[in-house]
Amino acid sequence: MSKKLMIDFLGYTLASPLVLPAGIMGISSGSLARAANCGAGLLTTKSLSLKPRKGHNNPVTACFEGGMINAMGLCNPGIKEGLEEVRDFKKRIESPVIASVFGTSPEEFYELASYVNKSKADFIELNLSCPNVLDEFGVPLSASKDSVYKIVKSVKSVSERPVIAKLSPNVLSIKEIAMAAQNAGADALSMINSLGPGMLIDIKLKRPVLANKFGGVSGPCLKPVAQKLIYEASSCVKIPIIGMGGVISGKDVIEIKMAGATLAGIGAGVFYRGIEIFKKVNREIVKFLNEAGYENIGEVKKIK
Amino acid sequence: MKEKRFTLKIMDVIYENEKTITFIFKHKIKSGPGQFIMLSDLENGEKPFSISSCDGSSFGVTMKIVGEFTGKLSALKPGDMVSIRGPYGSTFTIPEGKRCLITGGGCGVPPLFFLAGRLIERNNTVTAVTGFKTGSEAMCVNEFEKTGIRPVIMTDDGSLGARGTVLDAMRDILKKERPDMIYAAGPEIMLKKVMDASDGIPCEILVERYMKCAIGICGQCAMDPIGLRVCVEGPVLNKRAVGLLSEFGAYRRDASGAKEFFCGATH
Repeated sequence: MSKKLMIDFLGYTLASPLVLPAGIMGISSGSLARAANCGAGLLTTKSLSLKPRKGHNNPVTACFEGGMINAMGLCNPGIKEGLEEVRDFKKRIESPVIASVFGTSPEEFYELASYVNKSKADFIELNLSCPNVLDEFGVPLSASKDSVYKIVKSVKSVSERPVIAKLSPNVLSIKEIAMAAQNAGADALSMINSLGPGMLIDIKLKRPVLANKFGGVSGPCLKPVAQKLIYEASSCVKIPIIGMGGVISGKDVIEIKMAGATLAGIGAGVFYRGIEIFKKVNREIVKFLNEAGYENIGEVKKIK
Repeated sequence: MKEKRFTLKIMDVIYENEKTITFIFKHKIKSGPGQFIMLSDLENGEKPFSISSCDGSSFGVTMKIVGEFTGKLSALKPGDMVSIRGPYGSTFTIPEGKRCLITGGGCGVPPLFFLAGRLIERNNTVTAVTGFKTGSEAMCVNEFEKTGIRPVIMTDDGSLGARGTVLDAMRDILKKERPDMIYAAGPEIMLKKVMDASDGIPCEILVERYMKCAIGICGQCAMDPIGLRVCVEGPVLNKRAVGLLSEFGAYRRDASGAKEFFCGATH
């Protein structure tokens, strides 16, 4: 990969600014390996919980003109098995890995972080923002600055890994939430999780398309929302941001970096342009850097 | 890429046997043998089903009634509607003027019937072996015969055709003739044995994995160690691809993503 794509993030030098976000592909060591080989510089596992979860019934995804909705329902084999996948991945590939974890209380997140300490994962990401388990767990934790603060604080008291807080777009003040995460000691933010949730209806069967009725909105339609929220959050925190939401091209990566992100996640884009999207976008970034006269991706800074 | 979802009326329901039904849809789709659709009533679930027939104006899917969801589907009648996405996945290679051996076990048989039709259209000589637990579970026998192929039928209990397995019949055939191409669909352990017995002959098999999104993003059906997605790069895989998969014949993953080891597999 081109040296121009290399970028520093929390003490690591990544081969590319592109991140495989939580929930995309990453259920197995093979999946993580595939994304790494396709050009992602940093890989995130599916969100792991203390106990295994089967997730929601099918259908779990549905597309519309502007993007897609999904309600996977946090399916995962549990933190122990999930981290074994990271171990198997690390036997073959050196790329850094974020262990995404999902709990319902500061105590659960503390316990999850203790598992991650003993694993091969390089970072821990706190999924505070899944929009698809409202029936089960109520409003996402990242809707309240107090719960964000408490959970990040609790994890920071035990974690030997840098802590990334994944935030929801569905909040009144992203600044408050981002500040709460930073004040509690978060090392980075990851944003945005999917929007909504939303709903799609089959007019012939007269039923919601998703079994869960509602599902988080992702894809191209998310881009302006993501850029605005990242722009706002990065205006008030100093910690780096993994930006995501509608990134499907090299130009989108530049845009989200100009909004204030350090790295860029690609999720729904895997559907639109195939798993090779990471390679394609890496190439597009290099082309942009060359044409616009940047030495490397690190030189693309937040706009005013 | 665009998602291909449509809501269709079931035109006909064919009862293949006590536990197997075929839905026929009057709708033109562009599909090759081996591909699958995701079918849902938007009420009780959604699962992948191989396409078992496809011509200019209609297509069919054949399913074994095994659980709660397929149980609900079996109550549907002509005129009822279902939601369909697809077709998805890879297709079997259709050569021209070759000798082809088709081997199918149980639920693996219907997509092979679709394959047989396409092979015959291109002047291939087709020998088919189908295997079932027992005669009452046999399917597609008449359909095969309509295409002019007389399938060798094997049953575990000898209640229909000869007693024995698909492998037994395949080994007998390979002693007498050497096909140019072998195709297989059925239980994974059978597929592995067919590959092992194929003796240097090109071979394509149809692999099954638990599916969720079917559009290549959720990772549920990705196979270790290379993350091959059965919904996109599969379900039809050749020997070379299978050779890269340590997971094949060893384990699959349940809805949570946990490994489930196959009975008798070494791990």
